[in-house]
Amino acid sequence: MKNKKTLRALVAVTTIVTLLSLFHVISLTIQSLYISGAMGTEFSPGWNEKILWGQIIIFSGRIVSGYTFYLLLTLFMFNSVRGYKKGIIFPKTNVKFLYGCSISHFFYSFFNLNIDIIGATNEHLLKLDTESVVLTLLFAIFALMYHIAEKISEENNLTI
Amino acid sequence: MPIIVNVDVMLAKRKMSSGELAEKIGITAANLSILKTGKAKAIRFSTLEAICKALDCQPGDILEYKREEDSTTF
Repeated sequence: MKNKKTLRALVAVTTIVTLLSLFHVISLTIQSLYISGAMGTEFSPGWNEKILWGQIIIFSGRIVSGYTFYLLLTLFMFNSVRGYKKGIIFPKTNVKFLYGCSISHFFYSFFNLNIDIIGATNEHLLKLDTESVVLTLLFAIFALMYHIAEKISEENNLTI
Repeated sequence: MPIIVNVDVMLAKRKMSSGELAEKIGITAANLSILKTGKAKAIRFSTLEAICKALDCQPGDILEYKREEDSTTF
């Protein structure tokens, strides 16, 4: 059942999420270019040979997980609008996007929290905060509930 | 699915096409096909009533229970 008001609201939220995601991706790219020393001269990159592999993993992991998270979030929103236009409230592919968001969010939070490894002169103690874990779990629970809703919706569609 | 919907037999008896039946009971031909091919997960009483009314039959004439045989192979 399609409702014009709901569709308009969905489109509005999708636009906001897309713009915010784009802003974050651009911001992440610029930050990464500065951190790596490829852009700007005020900040000199602190690559330390002793912990170089750790620095590379965290630096590149932050970029990859950040891009992945915002891409999946945007895809989820677009897919929701597309599905709603076709009369599908819970598109099946959105389940994968949500689980993907949950996993990528965890890694993005973790790498973000430890980005100060760039510039560390000695061994660096990795940090993990409860907020990252709780938000990841919330994302995962939402993904699971969405999955259940999708199954119920599918069954409802096959009720003649 | 253990519950089989045998609409074809009644359609043949009443000399009615699937399209005609779908139109009479107010469902799409695609949904009727889902019912006939056993892909439906459930049937509403209102739909069952409409089918029985259209085909002038009892629910038992179109619904059949077939026990699922165990098919374990080694």
